[in-house]
Amino acid sequence: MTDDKKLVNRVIQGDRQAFKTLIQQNERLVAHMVYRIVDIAEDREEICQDVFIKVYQKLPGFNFQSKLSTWIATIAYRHSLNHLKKKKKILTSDLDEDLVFQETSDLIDQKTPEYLFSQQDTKNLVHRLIEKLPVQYKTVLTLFHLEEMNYSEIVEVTGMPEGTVKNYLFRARKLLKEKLKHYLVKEEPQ
Amino acid sequence: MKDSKDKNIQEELDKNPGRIGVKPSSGLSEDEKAYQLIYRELRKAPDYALPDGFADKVAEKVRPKHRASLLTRDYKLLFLAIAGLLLLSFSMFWLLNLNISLRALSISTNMTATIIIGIIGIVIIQIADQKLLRSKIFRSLK
Repeated sequence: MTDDKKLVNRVIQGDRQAFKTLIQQNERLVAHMVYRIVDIAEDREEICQDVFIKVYQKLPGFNFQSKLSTWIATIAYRHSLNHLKKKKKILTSDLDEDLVFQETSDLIDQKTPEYLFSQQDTKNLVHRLIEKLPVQYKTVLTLFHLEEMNYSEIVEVTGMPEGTVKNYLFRARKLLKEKLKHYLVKEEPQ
Repeated sequence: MKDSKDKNIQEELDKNPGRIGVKPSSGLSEDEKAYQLIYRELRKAPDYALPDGFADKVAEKVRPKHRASLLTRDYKLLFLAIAGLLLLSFSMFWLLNLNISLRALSISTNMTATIIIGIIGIVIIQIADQKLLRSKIFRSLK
C-alpha cells in the first residue's frame, strides 16, 4: 500500500514515468476485465486506454480506502459496462440462462465427434463456453479465479451484494459444468 | 439436492486449489472431472494482451492535460492584457477630457472616440485569439 501511495503521489505531481509504471502494473488486470466484458475485439484496446485516462483524471480523488488495483478494476468494470450500454447491448437479458444453454448447445452440436476428442479442443471449448456466459457471470469468474480477488473486493468492483456474487459464481461454474459434462460423456467411448 | 452436490464440489475445490492441478483420475465422478477442468481453465489468462508500448501511448495521451494548464495561464495573461488596454483607453480618454472644455466635448466626439477605441479593442482581441490561443489549442490536440 505504501508503494502504491508513493506511486500515486508521483503520478499526481505529473511524473510521466510513474504513470507508465502504474499502467504496466495494472494493464493485465484491465485487459482481462475488458476482454471478458466487451466482445468486440476492435473496441478493446481503446476502452483500455480510456480506462487509464480516467484513472489518471480521478487519481487525485483516490483516498486509499481500497487497494489501487481494486479501484482501477472498478473503473474498468464500469467503463466497459457503459460501453455495452452505448452499443445497446441489453444487460438485463444477459442473465437468461436458457438462451446461454441454447447458444452453447449450438457450439457443441456443430462439432464433429472426431474434432471433439482432442484435449486442446476441450480447453478451447471451455474458453468458448466462458465467452458465451452472461457478462456478470464472466466478470465474477475472472475476478475470483484469474485475479484472485476475495468476495469483498469483488463486491467493491461490481457493486453487487456479496450474496449475489457468491450466487453468480456458483451458477456460472455449474452452468459450465453442465455443458462440459455433456461433452465429456460424449468423449467417454474413446 | 443436486445443487448441494455441486456446492460441495465447488467448495472443496475452492478450499483445496491444489486438487485443481491434479489430472482427473478414474475414481472421480463426471461432475468432479468437469469441475476440475473448468477450475484449471478459469485460472488461465485469456488469449488477449495489450500491445507493446501501450503504456507509452496512454502516457502520451494524457499530456494535453499539462498543455491545457499552460493554456489556462495564457488565458490569464490575455485577460490581464485586455484589462490593461481598457485601463489605458479610459486613462487617455480622461486626460483628453481634461484638456477639452466641457462644451467642446460634444456627444458626437465622445461617441466617435468610443466607437474607434471599441473597434481597435475588438481587432486586438481577435488577433490575439487567432494568433496566440487557437493555434496553441490546435497544436495541443495534435
